[in-house]
Amino acid sequence: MSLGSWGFRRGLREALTEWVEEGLIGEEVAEALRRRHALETRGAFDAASFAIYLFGALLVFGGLASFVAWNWEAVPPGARLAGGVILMLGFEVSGYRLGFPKASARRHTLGHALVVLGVLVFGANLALLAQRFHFEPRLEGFLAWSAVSASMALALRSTPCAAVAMLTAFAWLLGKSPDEVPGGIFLYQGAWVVAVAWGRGFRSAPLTVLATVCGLVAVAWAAGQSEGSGDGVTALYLVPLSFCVVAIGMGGHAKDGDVGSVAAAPSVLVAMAFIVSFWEVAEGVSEGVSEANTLHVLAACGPPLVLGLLAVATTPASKNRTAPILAIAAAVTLALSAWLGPTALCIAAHLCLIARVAWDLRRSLTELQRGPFWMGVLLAVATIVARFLEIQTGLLTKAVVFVLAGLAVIAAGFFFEQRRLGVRT
Amino acid sequence: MTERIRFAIAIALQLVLLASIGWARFDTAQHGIEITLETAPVDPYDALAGYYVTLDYRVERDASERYAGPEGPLWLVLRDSGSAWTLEEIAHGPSAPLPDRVTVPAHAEHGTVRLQGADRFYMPETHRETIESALATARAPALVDLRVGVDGTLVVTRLRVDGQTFGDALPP
Repeated sequence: MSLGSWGFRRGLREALTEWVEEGLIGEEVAEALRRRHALETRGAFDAASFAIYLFGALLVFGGLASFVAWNWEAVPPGARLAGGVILMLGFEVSGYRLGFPKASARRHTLGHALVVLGVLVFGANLALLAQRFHFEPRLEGFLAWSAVSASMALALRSTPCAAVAMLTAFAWLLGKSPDEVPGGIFLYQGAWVVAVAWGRGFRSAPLTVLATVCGLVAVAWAAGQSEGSGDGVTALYLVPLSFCVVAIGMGGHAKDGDVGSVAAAPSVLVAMAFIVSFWEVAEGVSEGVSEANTLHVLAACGPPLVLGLLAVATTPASKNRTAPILAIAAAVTLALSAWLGPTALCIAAHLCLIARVAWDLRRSLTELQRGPFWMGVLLAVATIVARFLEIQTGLLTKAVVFVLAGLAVIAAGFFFEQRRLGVRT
Repeated sequence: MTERIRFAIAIALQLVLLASIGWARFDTAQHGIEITLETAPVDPYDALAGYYVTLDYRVERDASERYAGPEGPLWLVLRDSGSAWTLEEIAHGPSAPLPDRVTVPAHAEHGTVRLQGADRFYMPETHRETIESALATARAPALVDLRVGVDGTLVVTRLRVDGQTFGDALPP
């Protein structure tokens, strides 16, 4: 018996309440349908709530990591480590007991987030060990962290733990030089294939996309270790931007059912802006672009730009043209500012991110939609956190900012959901 | 295998890994032979574990000058020479420790020899400026106290700069 997709069950759960209130069906029928599609158990998995808890957990971990890095000498190292292990086991065991054996959907989301937080705290414990005995934890640490996250992911079929396992494995790989590892660059390509298979194995589109991006970055990095030409950097930066321009332009021509194939383009654009908002990345991209062969750049980017603009110009009048025009303008600005230097590129990237946050929040508050609200809030917080990681500030300040940001996200989500609920009732 | 058993295995794996990474170093810190090496530190930052100084030992520089063999693992035989231990010879395997001689693991790569597992000294953020200033104005080379385990595991215990000691308290 199929329970139906997550989206179908989410829609059905909301619709059942309305149908009962409108008198279309009785409570008995609604209850039978809830049982039939397991709407009140963890199978109903509320992704929006889970995203809130997970992001909060990530920020709390950021705060804990900064606290560990602060290296507070008032607490003896042994007590710090014991506290870290107790915290880790506490999060994992309470998360498991709360959210896994026969839990409701609401308890499952919170319990699952606590387990993920526990897996993250394992990394903080490795850092505590490194601090206590003054060793460099990268080699054994990231591999151990990856193994632990993978075992938890397999034990509980947890996609976030699977993501942690993948990210830590790639972090280990990026800490090595292709000359040091057996197989050289082929190991990085092999890791890419394994990571994508890992994402597919968990039947998770976001995990598969993350695996693809991580693999691309790892292979490009490994290739750059030995060669590193301006054309390579330029291709990595401008080709995805060109893809965005074409896909955004084609969006206006897509039938409603086909939108999924091109809907990723604005997200890719935001991801590109986020990546180049880091000063060192902006410097590398600017340097690479200025060294690149202009003819190659024009040949690679000219046709997609013309194609994208033509697609927008021929968009049916019934479709909205403002959004695609703004998105293409952002892509072109990001591309051109790379030639003006890292400062211009950084400023352009931040303007794109601010514009996207403003656009999403405005849309979410007028239409009371969850998607744009979370996209806007998460992007704003991620940008602030990234700057605090990048700029040298006191570790205690970082710890406080991360924990406050985590709590602010949870509070913003709570009030937005309350407002949605108020309007609906 | 039930979900509960798989979860228990995942929990056990975490504890085993943490213990295995920490145990040899804990044992060495408690029972290892104490040696002292000269160093020239610099100070970077690790996002997870905090501020540290990278330790560039004089025995590593001496070994790099003397060693002309292939890249890979090797062993340094160190002898007690007063205030700090010095390089006596480069060996291809460990030897039993004597009161004034120990063998420590190293790795040769790109023409330099580095000690294994003793390349950084973590410091609290509140002591960072004190340590930096002590290192900048030091009149003599900084000294690092380490413990050497029976299997060659190295654990850094203290950094000493111009009479100031950072890290574990000195034994009575």
